[in-house]
Amino acid sequence: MSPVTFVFVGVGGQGALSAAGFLGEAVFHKGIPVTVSQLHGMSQRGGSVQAAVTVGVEQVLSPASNPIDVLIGLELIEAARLKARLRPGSVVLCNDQVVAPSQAALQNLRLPSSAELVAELRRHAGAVRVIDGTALAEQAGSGWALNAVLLGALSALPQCPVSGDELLTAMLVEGSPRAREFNQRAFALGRQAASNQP
Amino acid sequence: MDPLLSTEVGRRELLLGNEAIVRGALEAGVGLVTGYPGTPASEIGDTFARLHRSLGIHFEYSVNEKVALELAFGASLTGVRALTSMKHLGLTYGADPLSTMPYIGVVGGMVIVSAADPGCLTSPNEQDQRHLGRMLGLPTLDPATPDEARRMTAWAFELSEVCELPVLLRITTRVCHTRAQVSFGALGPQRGLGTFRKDPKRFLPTPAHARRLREELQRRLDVACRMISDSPFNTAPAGSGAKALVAAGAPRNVVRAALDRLGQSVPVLELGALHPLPHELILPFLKQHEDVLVVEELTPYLEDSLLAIAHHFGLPVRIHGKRDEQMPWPFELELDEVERRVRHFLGLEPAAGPQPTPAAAIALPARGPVLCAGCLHRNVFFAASSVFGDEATYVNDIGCYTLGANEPHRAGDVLLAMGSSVPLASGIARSTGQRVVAFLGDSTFFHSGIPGLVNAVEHRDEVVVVILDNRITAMTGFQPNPTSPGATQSGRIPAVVRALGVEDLAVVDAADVHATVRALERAKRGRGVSVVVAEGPCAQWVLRHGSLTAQPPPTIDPSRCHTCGMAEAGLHCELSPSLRAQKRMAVQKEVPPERSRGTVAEVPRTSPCSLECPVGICIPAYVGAIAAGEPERAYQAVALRAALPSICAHICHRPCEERCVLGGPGSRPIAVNALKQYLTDRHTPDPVPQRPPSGQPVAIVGAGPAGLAAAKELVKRGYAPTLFDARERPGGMLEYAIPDYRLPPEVLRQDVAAVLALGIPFKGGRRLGRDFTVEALGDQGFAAVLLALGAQRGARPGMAGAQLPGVDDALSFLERPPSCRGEAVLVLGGGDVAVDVARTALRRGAATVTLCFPEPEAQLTAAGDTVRLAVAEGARLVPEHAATSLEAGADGRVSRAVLAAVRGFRRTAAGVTFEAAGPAQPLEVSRVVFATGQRSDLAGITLPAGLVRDNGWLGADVYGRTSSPWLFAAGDIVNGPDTVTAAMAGGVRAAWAIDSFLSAGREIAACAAPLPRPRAAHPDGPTPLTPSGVEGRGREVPLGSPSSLDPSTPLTTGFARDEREAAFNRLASGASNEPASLTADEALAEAQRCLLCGMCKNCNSCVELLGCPAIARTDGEPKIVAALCVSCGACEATCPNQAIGNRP
Repeated sequence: MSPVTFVFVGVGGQGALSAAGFLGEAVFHKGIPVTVSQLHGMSQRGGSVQAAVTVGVEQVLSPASNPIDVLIGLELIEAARLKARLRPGSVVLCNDQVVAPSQAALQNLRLPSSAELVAELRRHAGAVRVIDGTALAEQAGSGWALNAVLLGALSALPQCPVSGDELLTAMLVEGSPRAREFNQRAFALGRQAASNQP
Repeated sequence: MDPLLSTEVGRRELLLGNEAIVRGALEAGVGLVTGYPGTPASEIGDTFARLHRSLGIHFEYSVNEKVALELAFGASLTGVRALTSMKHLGLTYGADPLSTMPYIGVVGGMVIVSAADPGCLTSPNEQDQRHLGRMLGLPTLDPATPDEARRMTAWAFELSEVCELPVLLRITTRVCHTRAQVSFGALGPQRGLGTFRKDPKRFLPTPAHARRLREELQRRLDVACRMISDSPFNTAPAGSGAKALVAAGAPRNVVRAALDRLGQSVPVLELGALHPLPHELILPFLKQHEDVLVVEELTPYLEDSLLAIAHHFGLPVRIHGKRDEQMPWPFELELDEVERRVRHFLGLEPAAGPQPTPAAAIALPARGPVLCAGCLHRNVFFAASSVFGDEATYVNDIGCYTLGANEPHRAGDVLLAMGSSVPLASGIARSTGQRVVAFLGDSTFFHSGIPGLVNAVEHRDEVVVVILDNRITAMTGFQPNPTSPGATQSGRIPAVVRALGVEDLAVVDAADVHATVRALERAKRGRGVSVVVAEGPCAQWVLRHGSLTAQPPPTIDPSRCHTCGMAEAGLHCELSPSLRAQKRMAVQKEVPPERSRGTVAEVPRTSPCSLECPVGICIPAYVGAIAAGEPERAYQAVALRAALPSICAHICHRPCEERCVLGGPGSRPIAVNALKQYLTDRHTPDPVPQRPPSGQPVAIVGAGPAGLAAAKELVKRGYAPTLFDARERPGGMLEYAIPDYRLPPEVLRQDVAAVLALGIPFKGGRRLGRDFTVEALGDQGFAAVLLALGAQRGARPGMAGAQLPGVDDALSFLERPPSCRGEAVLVLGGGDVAVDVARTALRRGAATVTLCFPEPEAQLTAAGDTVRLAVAEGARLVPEHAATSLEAGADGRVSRAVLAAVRGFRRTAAGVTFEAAGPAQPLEVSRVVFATGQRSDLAGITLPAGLVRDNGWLGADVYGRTSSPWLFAAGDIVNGPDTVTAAMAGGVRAAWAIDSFLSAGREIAACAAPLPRPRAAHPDGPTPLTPSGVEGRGREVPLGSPSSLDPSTPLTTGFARDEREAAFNRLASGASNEPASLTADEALAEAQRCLLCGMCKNCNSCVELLGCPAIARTDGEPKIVAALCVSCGACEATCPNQAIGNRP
């Protein structure tokens, strides 16, 4: 298969890195060559985070290197920031949430709206799917389950190299029993949300 | 079981490079591991921390990298295989012991992992550690993938043991932080115990042995070179061709990917083992090609070596790379860039330019790292920047707290390296003579902060050292350090600091912002080294351990999240306090419960003192600015609203102080006016007009406080006023009735001159009704006329003897005080004017002065402090008495007054009527002065019909508008004698009304912005709250403040006058003159007592002063983001309006 690059992007603490890790594990256990490359800097203090999962080839490269085939955005501003790496054939799966950078509040900047950001993504990518992941995570029992919602949604896309069960299994290797419970619910809700979209 | 411990050979796992290194070390049978956390190497230590117990080997996070290196070396000397890991900066820190290790040589294999950070993602610099390997004699390996990292690590132990040298495994972020497939080798037997065998000739590199050891090092490097030549980590390509590439370390991946993209197969010499460089491999390669491009990160380390080899062997090959700018020098090599460079090197057609991306439709705000919600460092930086201000120099250090240098705290002007903050601060303090602030974290303190602190103590440097002890090394992922829970030094930093010789030490709970402010204030005033240890656990760490209090996030009460009434009325605040002053205001809000007489909630919209100010000065603004050490800004806040600021400061009757929430029994209000005088004594008004008066001419008749204030306000609004006055000099009552000892003539003249210097003509000696008429002013082209004539005629009641020689009215007496030498003076009246007369008489040599008034002493209308001064100077008070008649002596002059006790009295426009309660008592006198009232003096003046009311004053509304649209009136002439500040306020309001009239119907409110609010109209007739005297003490009721008009508003009540200790004046010392101005220290201390009640709607202090990620701003209003908030309480503690909290 030709290499496919999945990029997970979000705000530090949202779970972009672990989501990329789970996809990487699922692909790896299926026997497909894969690398997961992170870019996080001082991101655990609220900065932006991205991780690339390259499927079909082993590439130890900066995640900022390749055009993006599938972009999984846990936050809209961070997703839109990567627009230059999107191609007409790219697919974007994005959580419908704008997290204001704290500097923006400080400088009283006007934040782009969710609709503006989605429109911007649509100008660069072939398909953009937006789901209310934050609400679904809450519905599943915890805001921490946002990345599980997005992984569930990803599993419903034809571009996903692994099945929903394979991805879910990789995701549930870690975490407390309670976390596994809400993550499983969140995964199902995300998968359902993406399946229902045209 | 952890997969890393699997014994299954050939097992494949998806691992981070850092984890693969751990696996490699386990395969080599590592027996002891040390390290110091540092991105991107941190996961190596973290993984060993997780696994070492089940392996039975020792792992530790050492106190610093030098210690980690030394400890690992010690273990190696016993034959145990040892590994130590750190980031690049740490290896340089440990370079001293490192440099001698190759001389002694290792016994058990020793591997040093040092992670470089190309691109400075998490470091203050880039470093190419390969040079250190060559410089010190460390075999150096540089893996490209996680699996290679595993293999190299395992092999490095073997290499190290055979050549007896520590091996440097230089890795970079890309390898550390990529997950890729790793195949497991056999797990080695972990051997944690060795034997130390004495060998002084080798282990004691004294000069006697060092020369021989130097030669030994060369032999060891030869061994290493042979092993590297035979190693699988360097591969020479078979192919030939004119052009070839050389790639070293992680860029090998990028070169492969670039060639893939280009569809080219070019020979590539790939090097993973770099030192000593295997010539056997390189020489044939260089001989085969004409042009070679070297692709490596950071510096031309390899390129230079190849150049040297080519030169040495006289090869014709051309070496390209960074030296000839074919490759970029700094940062990580990205695929796109390398592809472009290789394409160019190979002479391929340039690729089509990048697809033009559609122009950005929206701007994306940047997202940098910030201190987490609930981070206690935030409190400390808030406090420090509030105490030390922007002018101080802050030296920061390495840790999460480096982020304190960002907005809004700006508590970091310099940053260098771990533990550098104190010595840097010492150097700056020495060379500037200033006290410098240094920040230091807990782990950094133990790492390398202690020597700098000892040094500062030894040399008595002027530094304030703030140690932020959050009990964990948070930045790199919560690694433990000596102050972490359960560790030996946990909570003992203060004890250590004290043991280092620090005498000035404070320990505060960082969660308590106010305590932190107080501690820092003390430290600021200290001498030599002051240390403040701010303790409190990392909120994120506590959050992860699930023990954070389950308090719900606080909410913002919109009814309290407010500003002063000015903004609500559509007026803008021009004061815009500095960030520092705002912080000061915020932290000073801490109201000790027992002192809180009226809470802010009871006085909505603005502070009680500002509500009382007749001219609308924003008192918290200037007191706050003084407290923040910004007197210039404070003066501007006063001068903005006070037309005659110095005069105001000298003679204001200070209604603000009566309403201060800090006042009350056993307590004293803020000395608001003394602070104002502190400012006006040190600043002169700026005489330069904003713009030269050029607008429509306005005539102002009367150059007293009302006329002067109106003239100044009109100039500000672009009009051209002219002042007329019957007297030769401007100033009115200020000039002629206020005694010099209360208002020094130079103060008066300075303020008046500043007004006239705005370009206002003053026509003195021109009396309305005698020299000109109101109508004539209209004929001269004045578009509006303001009458500010004052109440200039002293009144005498119609009692017997009131016209005798020796009997005066107060105004005549004060205008030209006669000699009173040896006289017995009786002053009738109890207002400020009466006291002025009494004290002037004493100064003019009176033998006795008696003040007789009908009120009980406690109800005197004169300011209590001046009454006490008069008594101290010798005046006698006869309260609850009134004169019934005056009698002449033989010389025809008054010689006796008949006084009677009164039971009740009443003031009317005609004077005081009273009911006698006791027998008449004669009093021998030689002079009597009536200070019982004043009248208007409209003799000879023609005014429009109906303008003069029955009581003799002019009919006008609060804005001075009369029945004639072009004619205005302000000051005492409207409502009778009132305070000087009331007259000034009236003048300003009349200027608004004139502006409104002349600008054809603009609303007064629009004209008023941002000027003071008008006071309510007086009722006609008797003015029961305003007794006699120029300085009456009527309650000012400003308009424009919604609450103040409602009489039921539970404002704090005034209190008995004798309790009004006149806040901080020094009159109690018995000095006979007015108090000298406050010293700077006194002013600062006094201003810092102020609670700064009532700041600003949507003041956004919480957003702008804290920079907390859990506080967002939606439609201009602060909102707490419940998902991020950890209920730390910082916003609650610093909200100036006490609007944030958990309220039911």
